[in-house]
Amino acid sequence: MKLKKAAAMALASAMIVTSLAGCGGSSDGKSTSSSKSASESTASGSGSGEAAEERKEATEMVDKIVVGLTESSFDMSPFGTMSTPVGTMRQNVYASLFCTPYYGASLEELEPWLAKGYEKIDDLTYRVTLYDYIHDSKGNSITSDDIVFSYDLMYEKGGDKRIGSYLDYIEVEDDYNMIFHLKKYGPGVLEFLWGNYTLCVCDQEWYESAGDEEKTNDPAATGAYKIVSYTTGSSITLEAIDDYWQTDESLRCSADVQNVKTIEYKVITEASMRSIALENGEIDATMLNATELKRFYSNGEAQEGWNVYITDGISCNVVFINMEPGTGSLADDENLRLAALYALDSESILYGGDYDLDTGSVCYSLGTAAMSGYDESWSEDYFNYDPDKAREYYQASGYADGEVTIRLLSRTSMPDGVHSVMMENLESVGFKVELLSYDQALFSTYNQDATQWDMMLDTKGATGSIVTCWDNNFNPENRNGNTVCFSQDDKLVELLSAATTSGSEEDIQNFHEQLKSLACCKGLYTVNNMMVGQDGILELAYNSNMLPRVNAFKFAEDYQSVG
Amino acid sequence: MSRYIGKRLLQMIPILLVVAILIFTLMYFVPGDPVQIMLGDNATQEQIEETRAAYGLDKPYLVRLVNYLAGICRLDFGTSYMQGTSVGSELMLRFPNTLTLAAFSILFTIVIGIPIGIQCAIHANKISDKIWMFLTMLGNSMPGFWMALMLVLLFSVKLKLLPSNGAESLKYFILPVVANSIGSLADIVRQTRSSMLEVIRSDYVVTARSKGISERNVIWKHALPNALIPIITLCGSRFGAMLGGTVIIESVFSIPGIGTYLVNGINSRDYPIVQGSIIYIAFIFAFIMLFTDLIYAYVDPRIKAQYVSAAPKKG
Repeated sequence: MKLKKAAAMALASAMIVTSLAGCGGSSDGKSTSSSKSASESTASGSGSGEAAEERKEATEMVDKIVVGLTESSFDMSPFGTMSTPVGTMRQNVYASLFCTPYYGASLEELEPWLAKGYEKIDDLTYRVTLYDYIHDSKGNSITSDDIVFSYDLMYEKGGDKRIGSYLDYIEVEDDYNMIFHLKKYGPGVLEFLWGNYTLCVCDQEWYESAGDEEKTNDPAATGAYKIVSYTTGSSITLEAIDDYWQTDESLRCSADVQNVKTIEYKVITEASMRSIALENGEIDATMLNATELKRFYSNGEAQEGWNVYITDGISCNVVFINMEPGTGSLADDENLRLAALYALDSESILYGGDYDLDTGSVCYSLGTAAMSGYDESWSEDYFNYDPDKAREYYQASGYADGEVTIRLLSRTSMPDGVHSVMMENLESVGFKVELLSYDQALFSTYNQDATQWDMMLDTKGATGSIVTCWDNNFNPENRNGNTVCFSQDDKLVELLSAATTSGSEEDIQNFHEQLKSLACCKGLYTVNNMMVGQDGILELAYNSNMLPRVNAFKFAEDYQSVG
Repeated sequence: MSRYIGKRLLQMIPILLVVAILIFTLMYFVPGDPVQIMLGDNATQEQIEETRAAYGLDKPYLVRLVNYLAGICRLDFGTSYMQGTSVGSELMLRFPNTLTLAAFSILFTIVIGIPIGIQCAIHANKISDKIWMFLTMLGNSMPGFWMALMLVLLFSVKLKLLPSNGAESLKYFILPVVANSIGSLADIVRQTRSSMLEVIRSDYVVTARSKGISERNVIWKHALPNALIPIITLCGSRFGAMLGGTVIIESVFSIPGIGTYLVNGINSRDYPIVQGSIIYIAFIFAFIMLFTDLIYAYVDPRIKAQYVSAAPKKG
């Protein structure tokens, strides 16, 4: 009997210990904090703003920062495929002609980096002049030929294929002068080509003689940092280059600031494990999702000891309606399309994804408020949720309830709650919805096939300008003769051409109105960028991809890294 | 014996060949275009065709298969489409992490599981046995990722004793090993108990006891060796599976191992990664099974005799 009791006690204790381990995972009872965070603009907001203001900023380079990375597969060789980690680190290691100081910066706002400046010859021809003392971390000098080589390789080796759409060729005048001949001109074209959205410059001779391992683990850096250690899938450490080629501090741009000596990136793919690592003092800062952010941020305030930075999202989650004639009822019946678009409640869908108006926002076009050219007034009339109107349109179509089936194409990575709310919205006005949720690979294949879907939920972004986002999706030249939703409207294409060429408010407005009148797509919501850091980090900086520019963070004088 | 080992090693060749052909064919027919994923929606047909040609994806099935098999014969598993790195080198870089995790997990499972199983068999149906059987049932029912998170919350977040992620030193493997072992541990305990129960009731064990041999010797020297065969089989298959990569544990603890590499490859239709990883897993599994068979021979002289007698006699 005694033995039974003892056994029961032991079992109960084990269960209590296990249960306790799962309770109250957040920050050791760290109570309230400080002030408001969350900026809706691209400027960083601090969760402990008042405290941050009181702390003095470090005037010298701090020793180290450890940052959590969200993905494990990346390639830091000069022309490796773009991914979130690469987008974060590339601008530390590889320079471009100009530095894009922030997402959406215009041509006038680009900061000289490798290029001293440019001269416009005509709309399609520009002369770019390089500094004549550029060298990489291995001592190789960088000249015009290396720039041409880097553009060619960037295009050929899986870089952004838009280089080929925008750039005709580069004519080398001498070692430090070259002329860019463009295929097209418009808002975002030169910003894309010259800024650091995509380009990595490296020395041709070094690249052609280096082995794969050297290219990945110890590349010749033209940026302000070099890779000093790399453990595949686990961590990568960058170190500020002591003899960086740009010795004149006044000529440094946002991307080659050296505020920290060593940047260690640790791969932690699970969001919950990143927040644990942060609480546990294993990393200093990391990007988080809305669910994990709650451990550090509530009611608009950061928990004590942490700074929370929320900035506008740059990708819009949007629904497209298949407009290929004869493929389904929606394409052939405007009433049905309007019924579907008015039925979708963007705000509820946002909440369905476990976001709120702090961590996300509603979109009122194919694009987000962070993109230049976006007009806030569009929110007044943009298929705003109206179930009664949606029901009227559905009835006007003449179809009986449940007679029209919408095959909703989406990705498995989208939150289930988003799908649930969308399906409920559509079913409530009379549609029948069949969810086709695929992994990225299948999604990429089926979204190009008009026979596979009636409505598609996708995430769309662009480099800076809303016009670029529209151009990527509705310019048949960019999509093998089709638009993203197979619409065939000459007026839309004409208006797009006008908007991409002039970038004027009027042309942008005209395109927006025409797109709306076709009732073929509806921007739903964007997810903001959320980053949490220890309170010794006073201010974050973001690069042109809205990813952290860690080298330019501002630190407190008494900042101590966990590393 | 060496002839037997040689024969088994030779038998691996057709197995690996069949696996290579099967996985290549499956990946060939599975929908999802790696070039489309690589280049994105805005790539022109010309750019898609160029890239397809650059990776040899424009060639017919048989040509690609032959090229692929020829590559394998040269131990060249190709280059990842997305990362541009050699699959063989990447597997070699990740193998030590997976091996460390798997080896310590199976060691932990054996060292803890077998003695507990024996104790359960000796005290069958007593309270301690019932408690262990309940706990093993619990261990089998708890999902690995949940167990992993609970361990992290307790030992990393609350007690701050161990790191929550990474693979920098052996300390980093303690939590992953425990989380990875719980399911196998429960199985080994149950298997050991069941095998031992069968053996300790047999006549020769009763005879040994009646001859006055100490209980310790009866259990460890007479009963256990005869109960080990099914336990070894289970350990072998578990070890093989662990070496194939434990995706969830690797993901939770951010360990760069084979499992996460394979899953990333599948998601991005990175054929060389998937094919290379599967061949690796097939090889490891076949090798572990051979190793398991050799341990049978070491444990049971009757099996060794069978292996020896199966070999053709000289002269």
